[in-house]
Amino acid sequence: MTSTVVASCSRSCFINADPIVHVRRELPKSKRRIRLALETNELLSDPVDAIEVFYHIKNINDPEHPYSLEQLDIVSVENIRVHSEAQFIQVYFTPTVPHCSMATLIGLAIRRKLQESLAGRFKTEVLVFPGSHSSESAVNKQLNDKERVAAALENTNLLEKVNLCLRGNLVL
Amino acid sequence: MASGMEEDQPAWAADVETYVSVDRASAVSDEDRDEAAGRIVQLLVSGALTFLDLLRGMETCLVTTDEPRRARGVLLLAECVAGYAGDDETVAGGARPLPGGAASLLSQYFASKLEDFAVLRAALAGCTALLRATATVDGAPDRSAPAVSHDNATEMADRFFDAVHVPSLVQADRQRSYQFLLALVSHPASFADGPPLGSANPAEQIESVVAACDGEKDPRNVLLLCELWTALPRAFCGDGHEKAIADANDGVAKRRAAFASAAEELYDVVAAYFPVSFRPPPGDSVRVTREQLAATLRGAMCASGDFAPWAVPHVLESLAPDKKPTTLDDALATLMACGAAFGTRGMSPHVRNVWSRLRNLLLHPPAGPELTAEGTARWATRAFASEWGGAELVALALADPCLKDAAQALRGEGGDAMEVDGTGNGGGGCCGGSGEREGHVEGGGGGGCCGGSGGGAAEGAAAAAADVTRRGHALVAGAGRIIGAIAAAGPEPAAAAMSLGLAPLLDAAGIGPAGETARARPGTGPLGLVLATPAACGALDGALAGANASAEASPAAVLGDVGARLVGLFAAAAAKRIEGTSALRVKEEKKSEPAAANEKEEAEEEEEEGSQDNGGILGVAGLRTLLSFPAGTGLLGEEGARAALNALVDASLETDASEADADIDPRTDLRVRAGEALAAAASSKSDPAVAAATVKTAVPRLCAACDGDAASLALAALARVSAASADARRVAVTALWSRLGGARRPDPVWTKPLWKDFVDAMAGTVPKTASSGSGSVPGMLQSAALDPSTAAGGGEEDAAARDIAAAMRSETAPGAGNNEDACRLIRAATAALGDAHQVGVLADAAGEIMSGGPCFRAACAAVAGLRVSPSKSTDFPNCEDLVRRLVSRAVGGGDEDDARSATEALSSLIHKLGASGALGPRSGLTAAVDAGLTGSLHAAAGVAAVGATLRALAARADPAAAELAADLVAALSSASREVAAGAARAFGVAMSPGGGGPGVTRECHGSEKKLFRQRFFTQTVPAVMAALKPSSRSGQATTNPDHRPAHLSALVHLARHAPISAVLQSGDSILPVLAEAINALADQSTPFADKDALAGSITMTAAFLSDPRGRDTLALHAEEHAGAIIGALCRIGSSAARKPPGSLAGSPTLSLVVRETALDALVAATSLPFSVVYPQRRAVERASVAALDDPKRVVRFAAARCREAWLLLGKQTNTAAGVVGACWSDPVDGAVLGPVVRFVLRLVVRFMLDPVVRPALVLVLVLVLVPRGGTRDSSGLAGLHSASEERDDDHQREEDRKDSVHDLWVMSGLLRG
Repeated sequence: MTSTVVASCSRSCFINADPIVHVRRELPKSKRRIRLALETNELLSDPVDAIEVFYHIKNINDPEHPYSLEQLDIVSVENIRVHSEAQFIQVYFTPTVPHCSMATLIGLAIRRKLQESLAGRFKTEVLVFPGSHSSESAVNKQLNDKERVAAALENTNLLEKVNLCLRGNLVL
Repeated sequence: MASGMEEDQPAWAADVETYVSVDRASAVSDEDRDEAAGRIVQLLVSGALTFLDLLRGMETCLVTTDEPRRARGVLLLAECVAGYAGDDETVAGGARPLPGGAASLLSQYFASKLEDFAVLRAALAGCTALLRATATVDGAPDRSAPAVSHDNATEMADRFFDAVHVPSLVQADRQRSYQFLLALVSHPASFADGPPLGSANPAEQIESVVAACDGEKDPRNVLLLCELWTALPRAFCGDGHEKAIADANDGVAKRRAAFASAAEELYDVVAAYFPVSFRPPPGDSVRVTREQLAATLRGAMCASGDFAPWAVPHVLESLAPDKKPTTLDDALATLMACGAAFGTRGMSPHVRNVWSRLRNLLLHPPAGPELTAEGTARWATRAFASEWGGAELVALALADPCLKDAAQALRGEGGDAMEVDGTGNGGGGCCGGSGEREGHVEGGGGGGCCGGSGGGAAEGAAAAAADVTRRGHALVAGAGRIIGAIAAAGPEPAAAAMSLGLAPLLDAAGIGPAGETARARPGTGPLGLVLATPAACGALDGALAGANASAEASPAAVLGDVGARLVGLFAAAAAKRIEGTSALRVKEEKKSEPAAANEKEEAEEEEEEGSQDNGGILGVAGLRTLLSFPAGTGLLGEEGARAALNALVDASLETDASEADADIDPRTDLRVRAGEALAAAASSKSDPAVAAATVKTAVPRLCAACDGDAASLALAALARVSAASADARRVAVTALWSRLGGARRPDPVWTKPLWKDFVDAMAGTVPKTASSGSGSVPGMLQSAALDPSTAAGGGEEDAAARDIAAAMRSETAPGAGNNEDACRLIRAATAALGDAHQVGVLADAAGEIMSGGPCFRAACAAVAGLRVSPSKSTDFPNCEDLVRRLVSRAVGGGDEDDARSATEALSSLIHKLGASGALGPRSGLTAAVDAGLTGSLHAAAGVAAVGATLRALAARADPAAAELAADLVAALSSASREVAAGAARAFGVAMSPGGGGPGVTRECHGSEKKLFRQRFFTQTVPAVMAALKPSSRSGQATTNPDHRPAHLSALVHLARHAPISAVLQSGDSILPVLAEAINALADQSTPFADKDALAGSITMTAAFLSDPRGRDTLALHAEEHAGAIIGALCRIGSSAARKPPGSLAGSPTLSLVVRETALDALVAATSLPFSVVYPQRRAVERASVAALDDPKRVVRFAAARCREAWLLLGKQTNTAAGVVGACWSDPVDGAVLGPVVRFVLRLVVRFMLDPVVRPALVLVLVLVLVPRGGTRDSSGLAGLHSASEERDDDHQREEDRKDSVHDLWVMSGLLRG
């Protein structure tokens, strides 16, 4: 039944029919140079930082538009906190509209991607940017409840939707 | 009875019925219809059937009231006509004349059917085919004779115009209508009797055609309509040669008069489509492009001279600066087409208007990708060079008020006017006439300028100067573009532009007759550059065009007196004597507008980086342009060229204390540009006088400057000039050595700080300023060595080289002797020496080496640079003792540098003199082995010596190479592991690009046979592999297992430098041992561990996985070996242990490149057969998870990519192969179940072929496999969630029932936990 609902949802029933698309941002040349020099030095270890985390999640596709989370400014480097010593990463994402019902799906996709791309020693927390969603606390609670997330990701249909986001395809 | 009727029917009646059948139940396909029509055409062609019989036979379907059937009948008839007459491309044999009777009959029939709306499309097709058909004349086919007479065609047209209202038809019918009209106006009798467009008078005919065609919108039809409009003038007025005849023909005159009077109406029909704004929609299947439409429309608009009064003003309307660049480009192309079609007579009334529009465009150039300022200038140049009004346009342009305005701006007058224009036109760029030629690109690029903010100082004189520059910039840039465009039109316009256009403006700018800039007002200097650069570039284009057009005629001076003034102006700019040029920005790269916040930061950063003086760059580019003119057209006399060259020399020697050498960008470094300009002048082909003047003027000055403070800069410039011109090099080497390096000088060069620069310039290291640039400049001696003329020897250059070699070998030379730079110089000097001196050099060097003198390394360098010409090889004495001595020094365990020098000398000697017999038997290998060459493989020096010797022999395909290789292969089985490892490494040295040292390179006269690496690899690998292959009887390896690592290491060393195609060809033998080799090289506890070789083996594996040829080979062996290879890659990819954050990573066992390549190779491995890779997924996942904790970020990214790819692979488990793979993947079950499942699968495949067993088997498989696949589906993804792997089927089904709940969870965003 839900599949029918999803399939019948036409383009006209978008939650945000006309999102603002932002231009991809690159690091300034000087910073790129320094970063490259550090990364190619065999003797130094590169700590996991916000830019690296952002690199992993920036290309996740929005569930209803053919744009990445970076292009829709849902995730950004500034909204990623990496606490290296505590091995703890917080990712804040900003839904394009406050009533976005896809927020949980986006959060799940981010969480899933981080699980796949980061070492297991890191604890990750995916949160809606404060004040950017009408059901902020509910969404945050869902996304950071380990049991609920595990249960959601074990559902085949849901997992398929998450994987569509990760592979750059539209869910709707 | 029915059968009797069928028997009466001819055979082709069935084909007719097939074609005309409209019964959906019969399901006749289009292919069947085409085949049926084809068969009927064949009958018509062979004469077995006549058109009359066909008409009779088709009577029922041609007169039926069933409209679709009737339409098909007429269409079949039309297709038969088209096919018979050769109109159809599928019919072989081409055009075939129609019988006269048939043509008349059919034309009447099709004309009558034009009134039958139901069959209109078919009737139009038939009429068109008939009109295109030819007839027989006197029994012979005549292509010029139409099958349909003029009268019949006229009747067709009458019926068409009476019965058909084209605008109301559908697209396909309109298309047929236009094709019919096109066929009518192309009727061969059109000129004599007028176009058969009906029986009305010509004016009414035109009116009918216009009424039929007006308002068309479909692009396909517009293309046809434009073709029709191109044909109409020919039909009514005839071609040019027929017009004389037409004068005597009253009918033709009437038609022409009618056409002329209706020209405006006719033009209006096509004018509606201009300018073309068509854009093909997404997913367009019609494939009509905008360019195609524009080109066809252009032809229609210029089809007749009668269109000129309307066409030219109409086109000019679109030439406004506010139009889109695409429109402007289209309009300019159409204007040129109009000029070519209408000629002087048609264009003369519009020339002033043309200039007015061009002027606006040149002053306000578009900035789109389709048309830039440079593109506009090119179109303007074409207009200035045109026959239809070029001269008048040039005169108008040179008298244009905008040049006077520019003069005022340069004088500093008319501030208000300038203000208005300046603000309105800010940002306009200026550029040369064109940038097509390579030499001109520099100048043109340098000429590109755009409005800047003006200095940046806020007060005082500097601010006033910047204000003058800013306000006048747009005016002067526009004037420069105009003058440049005129000048590029040819030598005469260029001369006029220089004398009448540029000279007054230079006067206004205060540039003196000799280029003095002292009297120039503050702020006008940069404007002068903005003006002069495009003008000079345009003049160069014009002069080159004139030189190409009239190679034999004496060239006319283009620059004239202006040349000297331009030299002065550009020289001042190159010397940075013009202030305020930082307001000009050189267009290196077009940058898009900043769109993000952090781009601002980047832009600021780039601005800081690019804060060099752009005036200097323009100056150097301008001087280079002035020196590029063909002989007789550029600078007057030798003085002009000399002044320009002196300015370039000054620019190349300019020292700036504020710049640190390390930060100089070679692309923008003025000195590098000046050096390159001097090099271009020295090698000038267009004007030999300039080349001679460079050698005579610039080179001695640069040599003289080598004594002073700018010595290193002078040396770098000299190296550049010498690399371009042999004459300059001869002068430079001689002068430089006598001036700087002469042994008799009290203060020799090697005691100075510039010693290194001197060696760089002489011996060929890339100058420091160009280290990161594109150009590497060979040294002077290196250039001499590569010049065949120096082999003959003699001359001052040879003497200087000999002097250098001798002086550097002298132990009395301070800083010489064994100094590394001195050795480099000696090597280059020896290589540059003529043949006559080589024996002497070798004798001296051999004496030094044998006597154990203090200059051992210098002597070795001389041996490395030896030149041995084939004809002179017998002149050299026996050098066996020298070989022995070199071997003993190379492997004797003395000083490392001495050993390296000896190795280089040894390889050079064996490579160059081995074939001559001067080194004894086996090209000197016997002497070398006697001296202990192969007995020293346990040491690094010995490995280097053996490898270099092998390389020297193998590079020239000497038979002794195979013998030495066989010795090395034998050493691989040595009891000493160090010796075996050394032998393996020696193969790597021999194959590596730098193996053998500089003595075997081309610069030192080494000769490398083509494909020598490939040949050596294919010859040696079998011997190495022989020890690794298992015995055919026992299945065990033939050699001692302890020797396998050495053989594996040798294999990798050989393969890593061999061409990849050769390695892939040997894939069958390499692949089985590849994994073992990787493990052997990675084992740090053995002497076989080698990081570089390991990296090479990983790269090789990646090549096998990514290259289609390698992948095919790997696929063949995949089942057997892919697991081992993937396992080895996993171990390497995850080899780095995690380090605490912020700490030093220490010295990891394998480099990050190796680890990253291994992980990327694992990504590529997913393309292998599923059944092979699936069992490895757990191992790869474990490795990638471990690698996610790598200390290096690039490796972590590679690990993430690898994990993603293999997780995707794990999701493909709901197939039979997935189940099989899942069984195999189990470490316990796999050993048992693997063969069992393989056997069962074979049985399944066999039974699947059985039609009886197949359905039952499919049912069984579905019942068995689907539930298991469902379970595995979650397990594939659940590498992250181990709990879900243990879930049983019941739980899974329960989860499936909850699907809808979870979906709602997503859709609503609320979890009902």
